[in-house]
Amino acid sequence: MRSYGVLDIGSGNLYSLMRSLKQLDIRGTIVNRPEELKKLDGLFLPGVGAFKSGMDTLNKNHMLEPIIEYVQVGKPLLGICLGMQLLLSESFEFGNHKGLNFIKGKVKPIIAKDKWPVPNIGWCEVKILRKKNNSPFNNITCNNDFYFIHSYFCDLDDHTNIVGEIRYGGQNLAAIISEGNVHGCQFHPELSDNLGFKIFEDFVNL
Amino acid sequence: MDTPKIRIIPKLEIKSSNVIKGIRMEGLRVVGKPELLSEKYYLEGADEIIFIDTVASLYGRNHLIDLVTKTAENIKLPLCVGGGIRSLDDAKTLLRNGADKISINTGICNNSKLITNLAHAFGSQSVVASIQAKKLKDSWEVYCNNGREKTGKDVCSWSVEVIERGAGEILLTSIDQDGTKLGPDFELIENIKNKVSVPLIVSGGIRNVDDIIQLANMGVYAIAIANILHFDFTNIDEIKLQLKNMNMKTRIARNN
Repeated sequence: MRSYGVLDIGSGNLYSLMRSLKQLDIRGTIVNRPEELKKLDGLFLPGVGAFKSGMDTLNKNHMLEPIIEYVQVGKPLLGICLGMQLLLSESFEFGNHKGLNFIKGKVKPIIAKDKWPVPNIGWCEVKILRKKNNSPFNNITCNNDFYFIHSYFCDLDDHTNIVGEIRYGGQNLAAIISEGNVHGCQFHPELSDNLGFKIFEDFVNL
Repeated sequence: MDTPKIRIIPKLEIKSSNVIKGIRMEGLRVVGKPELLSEKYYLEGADEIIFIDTVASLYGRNHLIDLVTKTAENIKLPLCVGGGIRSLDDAKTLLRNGADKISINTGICNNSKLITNLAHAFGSQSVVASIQAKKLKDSWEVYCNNGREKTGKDVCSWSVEVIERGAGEILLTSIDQDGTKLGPDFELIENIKNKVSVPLIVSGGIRNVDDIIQLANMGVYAIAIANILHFDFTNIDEIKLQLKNMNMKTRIARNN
């Protein structure tokens, strides 16, 4: 049976993610030691909390180099919400902090027009812009809805890495990003009903 | 006009092992079992679910955990849980056992620094400040302990303070309208809406889809509903279809 890891980034509330994997019969374990990465078939980078504390936890657990090695081998990585933001080069959340730099871009605060609330909390329809090879997002159709909860968004240098976007407060925000075997979604598949769970199924079938 | 999608959020007030509902938070009637009702609302297309343990604050008990875990196993939606949270450890226990957000009222009325501590530990997105408002002559007073105890705080200034301290959402309940089916306190909601930029979840008195549309037109897109769902005056499916028919934006759940 294939085995999947959920990276421990400290503040993360991992319950919902672990529950959804269990419901899908996906063998998932929480990983916080470098040697555990080698045995995995796929890795989830979950996310609630702040950018800096997420990076600090990975650093403290000596995980930064091992994650880079993991990605270089070509195995799939899926970042969720803050986990997607950690994939980028840098963030401006409470200061300026370096990220994992797998996908070039910056994490910036949402400045919404017309009194749209921030954070963006709720269900948004993701407009799919392109399909990529070996992506867990290729089965998303139109009339979808996914659950978002974020105050910051991913501003990518190369827009061809944006697979899907939402329209929020007068701007287009990246909702799904992919470059090679590194994938991210700003929404929470584990809280997004059946359409969200389907993404996990497709991820483990890559 | 482009707007966020309206969230319909069933609010389940819990006393021991039952969902209960009162009028103005008194005269409680038993509605059913929380784990069964939450699954029913999930299948009807709820966007989130809120659990409030109504007596936890009063007695300092916290027996929600088993119930939260049992419920979280059956719904694929965000679950917000409140009642009796006094400390970081209380919040952590709930978040580790199935809650995605925590809602907190009495705990922050007694110790407003707790909001900041919770936001730092778990992120603002996990922290919902619950504010129970009772109308005075020309303002509203914050109540705690499920509407039983005055705090002397003004609802408007308290709303601003909880956001400054790090809450990611406000759950605003009108005690005067709660359980009455007499309509929301629009004046209260308008006042608070103008003061905060975070999402506002409003609760208390919702009668029908017209109320929901009026709230959305005021810029309030998250509606917590109890009475009219619990006592079968309508269901979430029907509410959402009516919203769609009125060209309002909301999610229609799909089962594929």
